[in-house]
Amino acid sequence: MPSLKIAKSGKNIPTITDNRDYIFNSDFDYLKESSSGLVDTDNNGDLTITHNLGYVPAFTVFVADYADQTKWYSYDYIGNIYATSSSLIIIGAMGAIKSKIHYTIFSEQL
Amino acid sequence: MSKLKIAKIGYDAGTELDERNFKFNSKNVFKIAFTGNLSVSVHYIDDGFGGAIGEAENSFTHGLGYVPIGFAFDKDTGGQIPMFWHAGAGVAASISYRLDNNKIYISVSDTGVYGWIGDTIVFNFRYQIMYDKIA
Repeated sequence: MPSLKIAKSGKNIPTITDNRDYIFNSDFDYLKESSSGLVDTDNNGDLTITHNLGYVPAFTVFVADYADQTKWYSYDYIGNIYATSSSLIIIGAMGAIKSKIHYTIFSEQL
Repeated sequence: MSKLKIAKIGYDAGTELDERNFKFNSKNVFKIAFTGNLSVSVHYIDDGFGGAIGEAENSFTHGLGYVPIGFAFDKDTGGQIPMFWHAGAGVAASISYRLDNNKIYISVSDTGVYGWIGDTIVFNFRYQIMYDKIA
């Protein structure tokens, strides 16, 4: 089966032995963004995002205080976060206050 | 507009509907803007309660002008940041990171026993910053 390969500048595809030297290689699978967005929690830092993929997907989430959206934190500032086969559920963001959430839900199944 | 779609073996890219069955389907993939090493040097002082505390932060300037998606890892253990651990007897550590429109910051807060006062420990991290935007 033919492959689509794009090498980094200065690299020659037929001689590449280190996969990091590819920009793209169709022999590999990729984390594909199924959906993403910038959304608000409620006043308790809670939010449910419906994806309806029918399976539990991989995801990333970042969070900011709704009153100061210049600083964005990784998920440790979220009280609890998990995915189900239909939703991404965030509980108690930023210590259970109204927060801004950036989420990415991937096509890949956990 | 036509799109580049590459299905996994056994699937037809022209008719497949399940996103999991594509290797690539023209949906966004994260694109790496910067990767690098960042060390945080933590100096321990008397916490006033019979133990030691060390807190420090270091940053890398990405200069993108917007808040990018980014990740950080402990280079010594391979663990993903944020990391927390509590060893008991007042020994605990918290490592976190944050991003703004100019930098990524990695912060260490570590508490330990009295004998650590005056010590300096260097924590080593690896960051990955994407071109993809948070805000």
